[in-house]
Amino acid sequence: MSTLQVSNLNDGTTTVATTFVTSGSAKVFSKTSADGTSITKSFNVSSLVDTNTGQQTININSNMSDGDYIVQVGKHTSAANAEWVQSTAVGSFIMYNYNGSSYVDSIMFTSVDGDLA
Amino acid sequence: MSSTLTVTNANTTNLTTTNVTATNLTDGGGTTSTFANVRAGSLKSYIFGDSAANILKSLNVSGGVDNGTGNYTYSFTSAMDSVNYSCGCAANSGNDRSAMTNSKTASSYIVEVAQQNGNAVDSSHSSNVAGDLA
Repeated sequence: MSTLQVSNLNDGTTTVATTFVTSGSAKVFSKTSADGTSITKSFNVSSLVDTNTGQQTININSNMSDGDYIVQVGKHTSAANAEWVQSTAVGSFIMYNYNGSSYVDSIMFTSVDGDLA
Repeated sequence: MSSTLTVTNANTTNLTTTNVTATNLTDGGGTTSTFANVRAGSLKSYIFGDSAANILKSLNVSGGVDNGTGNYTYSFTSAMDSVNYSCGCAANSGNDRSAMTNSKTASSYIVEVAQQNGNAVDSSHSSNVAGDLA
């Protein structure tokens, strides 16, 4: 295990403070199936739970530092559904997809930003 | 430009420096990204705000303003280079809620939260910003 501590990174043209790389890199992302039973693509995800119709729980492999992290969520559907995230805990969160009258299954996407524990 | 910096020492494997210029970045597992992707692909700002624009978690944010029901302004500490940045957002409480961004400038943007019937609603929310700093 080695650590390289650097204040600034330059790609040959542009410099950015390393803070934006360490703090600004996604700590979790996922693409999951509509039925909530399989993970299509992920980073730092330990498992997926089909919590209920239109509700999927993502379990995080390496925990976040607290529940106040930034989650973006999207769904792969042309329907004008509302999607959001609740129950953000250090090791999990729940995604919801709602069509105005009931929860509906959909392929879901998420990314999580913030600090790892 | 092509460069490789390898830090290997069985006892002390830490190196501290101020600036590094390189083409690629490889992690301990052997996965490589270009520095350009790492630099450009890193978020330049994010917030997690409550229903009154109180900031619970942030990067590069100088402050939040509760403009009214479901309407929040966040300002950058270090400005973006233009209004042409990517800004995603999400509602994080209640149900039947969606979030969107509006009124983007190089120094601030607005997050709006509404129910599916179009009515604005107060809600905790999050957003992130990708693009280039000024």
